[in-house]
Amino acid sequence: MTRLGPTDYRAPHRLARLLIALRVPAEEREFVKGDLDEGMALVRQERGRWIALVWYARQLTSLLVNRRIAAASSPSLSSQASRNELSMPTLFDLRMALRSLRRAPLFSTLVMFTLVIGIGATLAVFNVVYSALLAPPPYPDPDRLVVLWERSSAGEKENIGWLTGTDISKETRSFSSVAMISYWGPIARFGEHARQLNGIRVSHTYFRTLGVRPLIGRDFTPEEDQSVATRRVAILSFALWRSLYGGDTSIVGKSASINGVPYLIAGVMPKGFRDVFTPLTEIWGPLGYSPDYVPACRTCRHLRAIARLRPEVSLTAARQELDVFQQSLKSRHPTEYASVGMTVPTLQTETGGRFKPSLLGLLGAVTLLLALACINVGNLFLGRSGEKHQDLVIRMALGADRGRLLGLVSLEALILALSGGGLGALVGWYGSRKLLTLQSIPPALADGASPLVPMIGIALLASVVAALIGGSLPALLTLRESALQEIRVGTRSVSNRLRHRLRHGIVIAEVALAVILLASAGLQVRTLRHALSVDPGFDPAGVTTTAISLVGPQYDSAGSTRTFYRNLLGGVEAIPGVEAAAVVNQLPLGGNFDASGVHREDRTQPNPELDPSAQRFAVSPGYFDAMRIALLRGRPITPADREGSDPVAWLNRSGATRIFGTDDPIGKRIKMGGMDGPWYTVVGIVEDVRHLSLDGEIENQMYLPFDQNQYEESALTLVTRGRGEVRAFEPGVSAAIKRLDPGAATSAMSMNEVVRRQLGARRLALSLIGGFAVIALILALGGLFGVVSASVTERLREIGVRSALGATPGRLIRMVAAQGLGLVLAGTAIGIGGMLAARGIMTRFVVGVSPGDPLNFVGVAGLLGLVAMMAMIVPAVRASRVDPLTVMRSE
Amino acid sequence: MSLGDLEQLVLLAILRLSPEAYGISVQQEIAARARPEVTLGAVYSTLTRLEQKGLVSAKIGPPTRVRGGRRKKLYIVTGAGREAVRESLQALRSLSRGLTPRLGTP
Repeated sequence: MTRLGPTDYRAPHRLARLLIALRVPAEEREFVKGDLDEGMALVRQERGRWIALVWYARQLTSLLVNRRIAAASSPSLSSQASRNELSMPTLFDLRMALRSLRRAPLFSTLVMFTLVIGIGATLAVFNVVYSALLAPPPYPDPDRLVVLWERSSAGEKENIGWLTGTDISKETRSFSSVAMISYWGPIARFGEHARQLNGIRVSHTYFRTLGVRPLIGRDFTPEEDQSVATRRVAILSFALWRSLYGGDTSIVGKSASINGVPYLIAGVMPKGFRDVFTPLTEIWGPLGYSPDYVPACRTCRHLRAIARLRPEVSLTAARQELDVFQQSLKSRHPTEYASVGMTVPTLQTETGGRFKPSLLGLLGAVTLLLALACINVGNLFLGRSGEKHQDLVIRMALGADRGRLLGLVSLEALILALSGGGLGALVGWYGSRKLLTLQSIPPALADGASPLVPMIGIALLASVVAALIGGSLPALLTLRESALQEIRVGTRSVSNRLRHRLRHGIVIAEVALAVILLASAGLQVRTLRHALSVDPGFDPAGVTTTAISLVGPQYDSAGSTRTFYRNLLGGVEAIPGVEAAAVVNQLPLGGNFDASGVHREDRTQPNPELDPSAQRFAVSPGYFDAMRIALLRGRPITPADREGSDPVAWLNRSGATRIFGTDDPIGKRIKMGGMDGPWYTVVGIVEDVRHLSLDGEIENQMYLPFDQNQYEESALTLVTRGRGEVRAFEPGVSAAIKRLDPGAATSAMSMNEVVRRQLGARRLALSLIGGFAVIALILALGGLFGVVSASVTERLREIGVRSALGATPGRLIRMVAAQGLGLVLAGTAIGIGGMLAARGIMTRFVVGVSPGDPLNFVGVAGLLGLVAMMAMIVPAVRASRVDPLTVMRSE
Repeated sequence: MSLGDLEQLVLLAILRLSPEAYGISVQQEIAARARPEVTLGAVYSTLTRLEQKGLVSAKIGPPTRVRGGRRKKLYIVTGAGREAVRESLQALRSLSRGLTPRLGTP
């Protein structure tokens, strides 16, 4: 024995002390605890900490299941007193149950596995749904936080212009503070490495409105928020601070190179802080708008606004005040507002609402899976109860107490269910962490708010239900019959018939649930395929996109960015393999939504705000070629379309029809944005391009030559179409950029990748539902296999007689298969019925395919039938090989 | 008096360990030499049974640091216990005599 040093002692765990106190008589506890600790220390020294922990747990369990250590009188089972004492499950029963389960490892594993999958998946999805929809935003007094939208004449929610937000903040009384938010994707340079960050620009009141403060450093000041010149200051997220600076607190107050210029790092947000609309925000900067700044205008509706209600003001009162206030704004600035009031949802409604349908759909799918798992556990137990049947009968014949036997069988089920539920809870917790970190589920606001109580509740409820269905029901069936009668009639008893009926019902239910999940997965596949088959209007294959951010004093003079891009295109087009190259201010499907009003010269309105709006693309001459956007009418952009020449514009097909109706747009003149800009002559029509999403509506789109753009764009995207591998000419492109401006921050991605990212959320939904469907299929077929094989076993004698009377093997196979197929058909019919009944709900989750699509059902039924056949082959072939003589002899 | 399998092993272990035979040392001795899977719980209930049968007797030993200052319950085999071990070993020996070739070498 190894000698232990005096310092090796560690105090036992509290739980262990409690268990020992419960089970070991007081006078023995000291010795037992001492032995456990000494043994633990020994094992740890010899075999390490983890083995020691396992050892400890095992010894502890052995203490608990072995009958009382110092029991002076062992209770005899025959005495009346002890029988009463034992009518409740005791630790002795627990040991019996454990032993019985250990003897059926396959069965126990299957039950646990089923429960872990069902409960784990449910909890993972539930947790996400909870954080996204039910949990309050993780800020102080979250119910006082609201989002402010202008309401368009069509009743839609619209972003607001900076001046509108400022007026609300100054002139209304409902809010203690108001803050505005704009997107920001700065490119930060750290040594050789440049990376685009997820950022937002915010009013200096932003964090105050939310009620949070930086962990270290300070908040933005009103002075920093005054102008573009003063806004070079940033607050970092905890994660960014850790990854870039390794958590060095001295970095606060120093500067970092962001978009090529030095920014002061003012502070770092706390670890758990997640931003309101974009939880993964890494960096915040001040908005820095002022009344004379061009994007600050009232019609520049690109800002989101949040506000905190004053404590004494109700939401209704605030809504009324804002509606009235908006009317007064409209009367003061009649040409700048078309809206008819404001929409003011609470922050929670706003952030949860967007994802409600898809998340609830997922929750529905996972609930079906959980139901399936519970039913399947019941099925497994029923299958086993056939084996346990005789055992129970004999025990009853020997005088065992019925209640006690029932308790015993239920106890087995409960042990499995609770351990499966516990493991499932762990899996679910882990899964939800994984899901919440995925970018495609953005509203994961409640990082710290884990719904522990409801989660444990669900796990417990599911476990207990599974245990009741699985354990107690079969036992009750057996115990209903008197023991003697059972033995007399053998296996063909009433309870047996009931059990069969129950198992058949279960298989039908399983098949039905599997059909629903498979059909849903099928619809998701079709939706995704629809999205993928949509013609985006351009050809992404072979195109590389490079986001370029030009910041620095050298770009302050007018026209400098145009000079840059012209030189750049010259350099890039010279690279071998490059077919076409161009720059654009916003990339289709790239997440930008720059739009402005379109005003017709021949049809002016008193209020230009009532004119339609269109997405605005400023492009260089090669753009339509590089993206392969078809020119339907008119002429292409040429290098002659530059500053000083007549301003020209192109419209997309749908936009042209919507804006000009039956009039011919070519040759007509339009203005874009405010009414103070130049007139643009429409000189061409191009094909529609999917800009915001692949499956949404086509919006109005207009293109203008980059050189005739009213705005100096400091952020632009280079699109390069090349022959062969996309990656092959990328080094050349980035070298060309570096030659012109070593400080230019860039980030490259293939156009195919841009499109793929668009579909991230759909792909996730598909893979989750698809995964559930596959599990459902496996569970249902496992159930079918179990039922059919059990039936073959029990009908061996009948099959033997049939075979002796001349039934051919083919006939016997058909007989067995027919029984299984009947169950599959019934289940499929019920499943399809369920899907059809839920058609109204399903419509919300699919695009481009009808929920009642017959092809989908045919596919699902076909797949199910095929796999069902496979599940039945083994028992059916077994039936066909039955030797009549062997069967007769065994009776 | 006939002995159970584990009772026999526990008695032998106590004899080997004497005077340092107590719960965990007995369990470790049996685990190391005969039954790796034996648990403390099983050892305790066997010890209790042996004590009731009068085959072992217990006394309280001194506390040690590694046990968190707790004392040990030390066991010794009584005269009856030695007799029982002797009998059961005797029985084993006489029954297995001459069987070695048939059992094969371990």
